[in-house]
Amino acid sequence: MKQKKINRKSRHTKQEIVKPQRKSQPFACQTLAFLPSLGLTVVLIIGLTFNTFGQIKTPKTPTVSTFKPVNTNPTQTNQTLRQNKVPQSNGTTIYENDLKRQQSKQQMINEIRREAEMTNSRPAISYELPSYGHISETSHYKTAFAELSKMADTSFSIQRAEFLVENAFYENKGNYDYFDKIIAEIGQFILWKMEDLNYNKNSNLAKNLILFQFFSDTLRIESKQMEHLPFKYEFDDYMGHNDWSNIFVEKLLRTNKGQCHSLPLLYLILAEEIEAKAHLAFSPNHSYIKFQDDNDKWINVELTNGMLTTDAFILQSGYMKAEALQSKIYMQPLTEKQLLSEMMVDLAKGYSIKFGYDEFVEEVLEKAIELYSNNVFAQMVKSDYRTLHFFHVQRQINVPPDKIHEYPKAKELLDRMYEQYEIVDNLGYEEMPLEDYEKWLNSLNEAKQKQESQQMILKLNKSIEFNR
Amino acid sequence: MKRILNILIFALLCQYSIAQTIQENYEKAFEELNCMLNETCELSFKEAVFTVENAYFSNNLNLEILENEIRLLKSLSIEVDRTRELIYDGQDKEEVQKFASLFTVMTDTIPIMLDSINFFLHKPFKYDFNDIFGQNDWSNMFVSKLIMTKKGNCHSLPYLYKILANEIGAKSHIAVAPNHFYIKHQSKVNGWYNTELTSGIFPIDAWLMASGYIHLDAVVNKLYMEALNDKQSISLCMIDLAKGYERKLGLLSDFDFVLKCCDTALKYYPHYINGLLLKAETKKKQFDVLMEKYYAEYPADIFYIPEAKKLFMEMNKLYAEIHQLGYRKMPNEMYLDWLVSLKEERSKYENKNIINFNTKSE
Repeated sequence: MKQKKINRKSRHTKQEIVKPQRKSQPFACQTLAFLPSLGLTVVLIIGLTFNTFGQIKTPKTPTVSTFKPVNTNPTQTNQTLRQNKVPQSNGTTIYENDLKRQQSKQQMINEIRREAEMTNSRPAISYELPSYGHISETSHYKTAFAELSKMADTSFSIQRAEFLVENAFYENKGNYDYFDKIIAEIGQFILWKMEDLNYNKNSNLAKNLILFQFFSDTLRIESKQMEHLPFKYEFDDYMGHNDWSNIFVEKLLRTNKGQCHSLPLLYLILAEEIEAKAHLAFSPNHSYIKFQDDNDKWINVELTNGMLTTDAFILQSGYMKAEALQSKIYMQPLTEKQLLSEMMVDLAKGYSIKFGYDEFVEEVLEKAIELYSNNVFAQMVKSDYRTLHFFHVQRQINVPPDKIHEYPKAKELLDRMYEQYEIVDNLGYEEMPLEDYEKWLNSLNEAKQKQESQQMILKLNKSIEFNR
Repeated sequence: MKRILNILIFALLCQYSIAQTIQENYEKAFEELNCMLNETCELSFKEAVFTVENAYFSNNLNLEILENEIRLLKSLSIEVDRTRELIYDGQDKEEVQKFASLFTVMTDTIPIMLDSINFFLHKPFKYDFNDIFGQNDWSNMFVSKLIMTKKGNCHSLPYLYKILANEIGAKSHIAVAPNHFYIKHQSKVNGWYNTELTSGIFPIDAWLMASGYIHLDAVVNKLYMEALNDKQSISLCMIDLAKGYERKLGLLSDFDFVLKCCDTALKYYPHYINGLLLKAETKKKQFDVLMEKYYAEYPADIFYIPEAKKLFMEMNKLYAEIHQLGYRKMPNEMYLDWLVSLKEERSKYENKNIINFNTKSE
């Protein structure tokens, strides 16, 4: 789901490439805010060059009036020299000395001018995106990122990782112990229910099936007078467009409503709690759960509708390209490392929504891509970043595309942006419009799919009872 | 009696010598393809295809007529490209225009004005529902047959398309599906998309993937639906050569030649499913011959012969590998149903992005 958010932007930016005159609106405000300070530096530099010019000009006065006044206008240097060369035939030594002085002065002026151009006017173009590092709240993101990066080398916990991502957005106001307690309680409830049903506690299938029921059914433990109602699908703002925290697990636990981002993540957190093995997998605009039954056969769990689905159903979304499957961006169970990489993308997205795109976003994305190079979401956010980065510079230099090579640094940024687009395209990613996504998700409610799901559940239940 | 025997021996000798020349022709064809693969001579898909077909016709293929026809089609598609403009605003418009004009030439009727009154109708190529797998006559699979009769199948149509695309300088790729070939193109705006010439439709990948005959692993492992590069396309011709050879010589064919073709093709395209299958089948035939020779009833009966045991193991390993890659046999009858499903469920499987810019142009 969060993917959608990214798509929208990357499409937007892609259109811009075709017609570069169209500015990317949502970010216009950032550069506007930056302009006043930019203007100031430009004025300062101009002032500076004028000053130096004036200082050197002063020694001119000794030139005797009988001679033609030397034109110090540097643009006419050659002409001035030629004019001065005519009187040279007079052989006046004073004049010769004067001329030499004049020439060296001229050289100095030229040199200073060149230097001023080289060192002073260039930095007037800022080639870096403005940083948000000075905002104190960004520090929460930095500590979260540091801890996530450490997880790459030590042990990974999805529960902790998700908490870090959400807590950074909530400006460190969350309480991990409280979150941990809730998860532990649910874990206990699920284990009790398993005992209640007399399930085999070593069976991965049994654990996953009970987890699945926890999400999709009303679970009751009569002996303990406990009951849990199924989670509901949240139709409002399921992409987190209005409020990014709508797709958080915290919000799911608070309201009992979630979508294809928070539901699978909570599933994974609970799976970790009760030591079941399950994996996240993606399909266009969507994420779901994959787990292996006790015969190593893969089962797809669709939590938004509380159903089990076939691969064929997922393939029918219509936006699944063979190249996407071949680069393994869809329908593949994510490893822990890959999942961690996804959490980092979530962190980067949260930061960019809360503050904006700056070098921190890039740093997080680079780490995410290092962990999982075919992470299509990281690559997509990165292409957003590259696009913004280039247009940030383009807006300042404002040159037509055929003259971009006059600014090698800007040209490099443009090349890197196209390079990044190429990476995303080669991964086989194709954008799925929201209406089509909803249509596809709703097609799960068709009788055929429901029946298929029922049959699969029945079959799995049977095999559990058989192994009890 | 003696006379009859003499005639019989003579006939047999004749047959043998004919087989000899066929063998020589095929060896020559193999060398020609092989040198394209190992880069000792220039790679040309057109040449490779006609080499394969010429070998089957014992060098009697009239290449001149074919070349003329191809030249005609080439100039026709250049003309179509020149006279119309697509509604498409990607950077690669020039390239995409070429794809579209070629598609029109292959699938549409085009009136060509000879003078102000008379005109000539260029007829599109049609799908031939007779003998789609070349079971009755292997040459039904051929591009030369397609050019001469204007009717072809999923083998000859994409091959001709690829040949013409090379001629007009457009980049195209053949892709493999179960019992099937189709064309893949890449455009800047729509990414990879499919061109299905048997029905003249641009199907989305779901049409292939939801057919029920493609295992998910087969797609992931690039057994199917991969855009093939030039060398891989020559590998396709190499396997065609081996198959044509088998058909031509029947029982007289030499397993080693077939295996040589398979190994060469697989060297440059290791996961070419038809190559892997042909190799496994040939090994099986070899093993069957051994079983017959030693009057064995079960495979295990001849395991005491090291050669036989080795062969059996190789064969099994190959079949296991093929299965693991995700191959599942698609029954021939089902193939037609599936092919036709594209026309019947056109709205479901058609790539709307492509037709949007392809339909209206004039």
